[in-house]
Amino acid sequence: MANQRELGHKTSVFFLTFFSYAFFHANRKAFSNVKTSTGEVWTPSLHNSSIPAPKPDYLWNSHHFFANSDEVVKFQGILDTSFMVAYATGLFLNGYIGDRVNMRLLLSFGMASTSILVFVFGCVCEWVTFYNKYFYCIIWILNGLMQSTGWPVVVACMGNWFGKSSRGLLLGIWGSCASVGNIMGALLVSSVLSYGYQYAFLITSSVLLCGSFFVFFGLIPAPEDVGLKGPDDEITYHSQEQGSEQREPLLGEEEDIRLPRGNNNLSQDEDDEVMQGIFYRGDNRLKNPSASDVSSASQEVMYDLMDVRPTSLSFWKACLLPGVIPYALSYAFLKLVNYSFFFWLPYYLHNAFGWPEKVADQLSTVYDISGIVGSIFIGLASDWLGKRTVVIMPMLILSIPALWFYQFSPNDKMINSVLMAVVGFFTGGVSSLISSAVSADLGCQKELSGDDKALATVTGVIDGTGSFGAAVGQIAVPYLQTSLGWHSVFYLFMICIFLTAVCVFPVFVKELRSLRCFCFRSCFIICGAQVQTHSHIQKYEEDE
Amino acid sequence: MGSLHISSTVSVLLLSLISVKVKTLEQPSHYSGDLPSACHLTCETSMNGTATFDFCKSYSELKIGGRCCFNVTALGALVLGIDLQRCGLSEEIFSSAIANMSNLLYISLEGNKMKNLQSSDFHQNANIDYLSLPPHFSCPGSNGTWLMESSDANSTICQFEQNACEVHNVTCPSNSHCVHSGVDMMECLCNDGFHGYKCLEQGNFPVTSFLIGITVPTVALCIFLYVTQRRHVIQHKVK
Repeated sequence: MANQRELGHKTSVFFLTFFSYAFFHANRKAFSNVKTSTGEVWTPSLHNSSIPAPKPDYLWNSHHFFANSDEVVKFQGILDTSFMVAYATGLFLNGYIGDRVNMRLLLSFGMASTSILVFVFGCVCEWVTFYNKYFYCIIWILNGLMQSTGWPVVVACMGNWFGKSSRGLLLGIWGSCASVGNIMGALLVSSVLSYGYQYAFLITSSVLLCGSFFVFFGLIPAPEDVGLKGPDDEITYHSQEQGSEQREPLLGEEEDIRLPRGNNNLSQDEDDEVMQGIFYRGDNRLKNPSASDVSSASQEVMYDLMDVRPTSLSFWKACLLPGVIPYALSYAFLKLVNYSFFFWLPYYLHNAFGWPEKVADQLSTVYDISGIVGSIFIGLASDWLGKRTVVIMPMLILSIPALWFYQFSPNDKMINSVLMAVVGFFTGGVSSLISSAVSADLGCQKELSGDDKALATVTGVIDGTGSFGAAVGQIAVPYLQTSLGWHSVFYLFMICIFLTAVCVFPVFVKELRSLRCFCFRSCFIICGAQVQTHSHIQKYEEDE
Repeated sequence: MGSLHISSTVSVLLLSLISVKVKTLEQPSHYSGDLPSACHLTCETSMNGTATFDFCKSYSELKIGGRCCFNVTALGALVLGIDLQRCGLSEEIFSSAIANMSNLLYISLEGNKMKNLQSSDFHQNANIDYLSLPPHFSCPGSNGTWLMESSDANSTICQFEQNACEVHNVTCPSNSHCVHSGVDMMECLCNDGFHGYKCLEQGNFPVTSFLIGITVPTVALCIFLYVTQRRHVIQHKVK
């Protein structure tokens, strides 16, 4: 009974958070997918000495927001950058706020206000033909701030409901919400783009507004809110009430619900047991001084910090958690590449190959689809190994030649899609994994002594730093493209991927070393135990 | 006058019969009320014997009023020819005089104190068959605008205005097509079904079905979510 209800709540949380963030992304995608259209609408018709301007003027030359498409591209880059800077700032803020206020209301408010801002930006301004650079910038900055409520809150909700036991594959799948949002956005936009670009914004913002109602009426941020125990018997965060432990069961049914978590675990499938084994195994090994002296040294420092057991981890302490800074920096470079693809791919396809905007929009979803595949693949592989960076590193290295080949793609939709899929698999996959699973790992690591409240903060720090990187990229891309051509943009991407790899290199070396130790040990165990069908579980027990 | 008839009784019936008769009498000889002011310019010579006059006489349905040759249609007088020889016109006066005419077939302008005429001075006239200008004038437009051009000591004659789209081999932006709109002038107008700035928009957004399609599932899903989820939330007593 309790299990069934818990499953129901978990399912609803999974889908609500998934689609909340997907809807946010669909709104971001809307702007990048109508860049060609807005560029047309904001400028007078192209003409020069050999081609006279078409008449009548009211139809072809009445809009003088920008003189030509190069200026539009630069302005769109500025808009993207101001959005990303505001978004990054907002992530730091909202990660902090998200751990302290009612997450349902924060998310719902963020979604509703984003929806209104996008509606004003895309529809109202076009309907009244009010074009103003400063107004657009202000709207887009506010939009960035409001959109940033999304990620820290949804990750924290997921962390509250799904314990470490089921984090592996589940977060890998859930982490594809951004890509799913991109695909949804691309399809929504291309379905209404022919009516005018403003309807693309209308439809995505309406969907987001509906999403905010769903969150308002349906989201339960933490299991405690419905009288259920949190996962892994940890103290999880619950909305605004701090003294909720004192509450009394109101119904007889509550007795059932408040059964120890161990009972619930029995119902879960064996995969979860395996993952639990992996996670606990990894954590135990970290605690073992003989495994890695470096990590245990930093471990002690963290434990000292944690002795105070604050209600929520402070911002700086969250930043100082092991692995947070390298991953935050690396994500800054990676997100630059990933978001440049996100913001500019449809425009690139239109601009470089002359494909119609609608076709370019639809084709650009290939990048997202292969990103999902990549994310799940890396998620699975890293779960199996129990290490994330060991898998991430080769993927990063491989994405450099993938990018190099993609820039020489011929004017052929098929070949281009294949090359794009390869790039998406590597860069998109790694990016999605770092922002979800790695963030969640870092925010829930044992250094926190079971205090999960750093989840939103750590997620905010990693995604926030990443978004600052992405912000720089959005201004660099249009300037490089207009002055040096598309090839220079690709070289920038390759350099950034290389720097990403450099940033995670220390973590990679550390994990590789411990993996080698682990391999020797597990070989010894396997040989010693002769027959082992479920080696992971056995190893877990062995470590226990 | 009409409203009077409706509100009045039987005695007015007689009056109405008379008024109809007067109207039919007025129409052919004095159509002055409806004709544009350009037809009433005072000129040194009469219209008799000019090319415009001959053209007008060759079609029984065409009538002459002032300096104009016109056709009476349901919408009023449609000026097809205008003879403004020796009327002392400048470019500006001429251009503003024919500003509202767009169906001119015959135009005569000899003996005026003009220096030069631009194709834009002829506004929307896209079907000029005969244009006579003072001597030493060149025909407005560019090479190929007219099928025939001739000049002698008395006048320059430009005949049969050509479709500017074809003359210049114009390609319009996507979703639009070229329309000949005046002497050596063309416009790109939206194809059927396209509208908006630069003809970028196609069709009309289905507002009603969109609103229904988005509100009904939203309300249903919100109710479903509340019943299955938020209803179970335990309200804590605030100290």
